[in-house]
Amino acid sequence: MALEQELNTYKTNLPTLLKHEGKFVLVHGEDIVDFFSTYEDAIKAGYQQFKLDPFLVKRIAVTEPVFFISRSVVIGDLAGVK
Amino acid sequence: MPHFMLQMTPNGPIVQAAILVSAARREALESSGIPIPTAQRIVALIDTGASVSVVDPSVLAALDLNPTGDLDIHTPSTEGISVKASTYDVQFGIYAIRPGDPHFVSETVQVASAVLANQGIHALIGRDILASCVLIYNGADGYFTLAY
Repeated sequence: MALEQELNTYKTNLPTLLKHEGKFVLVHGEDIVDFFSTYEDAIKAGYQQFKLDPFLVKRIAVTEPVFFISRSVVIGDLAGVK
Repeated sequence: MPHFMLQMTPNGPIVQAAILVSAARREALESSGIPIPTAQRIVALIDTGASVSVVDPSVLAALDLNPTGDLDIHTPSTEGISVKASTYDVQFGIYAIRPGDPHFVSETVQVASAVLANQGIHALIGRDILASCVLIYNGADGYFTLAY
């Protein structure tokens, strides 16, 4: 699964990350790297620091927001569909 | 505001568009000596029913992208529950019909991956991108206007 380690790091650290709720966190491996006000700034920092290595950018939220698509689409990534 | 006006199609407000690697990824590729993938020309539907923009995985694969996030998405095919979707950082270009016409290039946006090519389109331009635009849907006269 893509970004499995980074997503586990996010989940494990979520209780302490919540003091930055609403910010975008940059995660690399087991490291919480930094916090940003915008998605674009976080992505930029990720590529500057880690080049093409995997990294995660995620908005910190106590509960995961759900995004809605009214058109019927099949959610899937490059490895397959769900 | 710059704007363009296009004729409505039977499938709704369809635009010719392009998906590009984000500016930050472009810089990382350049500094690593890796060629920049060519922007992918696509057909996209402007969809106010999508709270996040989505792109077909074939387009993302052509750009050789890796996921940089995930989102929970609810859509009719997920049968009442939300599912995790990998997300990718890209930029959208939206072109008017004629070469040289005005066009819109988004900032870096987080798009989800979803199969769309079987519907004759490659992307849904959702409210995340439309948040910086003015969309006028003139169904009575059969055109729509996008200002940005």
